[in-house]
Amino acid sequence: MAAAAAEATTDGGGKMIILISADGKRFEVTEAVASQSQLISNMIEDDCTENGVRLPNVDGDILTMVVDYCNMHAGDAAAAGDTMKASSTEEELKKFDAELVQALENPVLFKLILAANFLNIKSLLDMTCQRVADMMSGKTPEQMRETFSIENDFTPEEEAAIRQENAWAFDD
Amino acid sequence: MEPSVRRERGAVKKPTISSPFDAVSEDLLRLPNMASLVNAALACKRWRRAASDPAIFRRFFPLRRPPLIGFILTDRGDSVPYSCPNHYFVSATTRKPNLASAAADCDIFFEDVPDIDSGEQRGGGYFDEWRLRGCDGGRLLLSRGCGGFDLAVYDPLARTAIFFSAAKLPWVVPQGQSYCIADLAEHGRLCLVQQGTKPSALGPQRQQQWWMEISLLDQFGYLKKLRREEWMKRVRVLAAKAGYVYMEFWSIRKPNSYLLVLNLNTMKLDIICNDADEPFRGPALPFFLRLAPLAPSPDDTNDLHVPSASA
Repeated sequence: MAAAAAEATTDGGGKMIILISADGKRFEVTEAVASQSQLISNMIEDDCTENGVRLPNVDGDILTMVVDYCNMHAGDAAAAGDTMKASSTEEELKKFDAELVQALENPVLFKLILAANFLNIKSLLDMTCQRVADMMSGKTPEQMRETFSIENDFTPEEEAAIRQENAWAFDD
Repeated sequence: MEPSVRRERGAVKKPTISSPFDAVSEDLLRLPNMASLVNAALACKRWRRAASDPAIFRRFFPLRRPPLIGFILTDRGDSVPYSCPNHYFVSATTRKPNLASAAADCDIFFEDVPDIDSGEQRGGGYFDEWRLRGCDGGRLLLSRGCGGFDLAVYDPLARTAIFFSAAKLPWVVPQGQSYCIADLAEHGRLCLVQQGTKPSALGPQRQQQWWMEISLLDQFGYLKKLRREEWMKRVRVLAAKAGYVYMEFWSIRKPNSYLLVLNLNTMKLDIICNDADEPFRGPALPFFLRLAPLAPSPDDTNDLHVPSASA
């Protein structure tokens, strides 16, 4: 059971795990990288990753980002070759995180949130949700609708009533 | 034509995310302040629903409280009010000018309660008057009549009222948020009224014990000064709720007193001066808060407020 076809071992010693996106793209990552996802970590514990982990909720382009993120954050265990070096300092990490979420279009950002939730990667979920919260805060309802392309489904009366009920929230 | 309009509106709604996991709630939880939350709630109905989620309440509740508009003091004791006491209003809005106008416009004597027909015999006098029985969420619970069966929930700021009869209350525990709760001793029950729903009631009141030791005089030196200089020797707890303890600091020798509001999270104390020249006390129905439905309001400026002594 232990050494099945889809599993490989690198010279680094960590087992490799294959992640398969909804559209069939395959990503090979170390156990250390993959187990940042609580979901996959549980699967590794249950020993059911040998045929690759299918992620029907996550598209390939989103999974690319998630894998990048996990590679970056896997710490010293992440010496999985590639371009990433294990010695990423905290500052580099912050910069990487900021660039990752900053550049995203909203639909992609939301997909990333869903993926982070599905895969149960708390730090990524925190970061992406915080990004949305940052985009929300300080905006008027109109600006929010514009930012997130939301249709206003309140009647003017409803909107006025909510405003009035909560007017005090804008007091200091 | 109505249904087609509805469908159109439904179709327009763009669910950016559609899954049992609600990313909107996750985002709202990370907002920095109430103002952002309310603005988000105003964006669309879906977000408004998300913003009304109990999880959001739990996140924002420790940070916020409804603004305290003022205290309603009475010249009667704790007993079931068969007579209509005098009221005295102490505004707590001196530091919040935008609330002060609300307080100034507040109908504290229920002069604007609309008339209704009562089934009871109207003998004039005391029983004709609305008596203040409880307050919560900015609503006042009033009762009228000999048996106190006529009840009204009155919003003294908006001057709107809903009426109901205690005899017809469904004696069930309601779901959702309460807006007005009062101990109706003569009926042996707590009355609990929700906004937008039928009035409801709880069964006989159960004693709940809650204990916390706070030495006010040691923690707040100004009280020692009041004690020494103004003979304020007694502290009476008026109410404790939503993380706040409301107290009265008073003297048997004097009609005036100080109303204390202790924030249990920050252990900050607000001291509000009651400079009445008759002994209006607050044991029965001490204060009211305006609690808007979405969530409570900021309390960032809740530092120690010391009014000038003997104003």
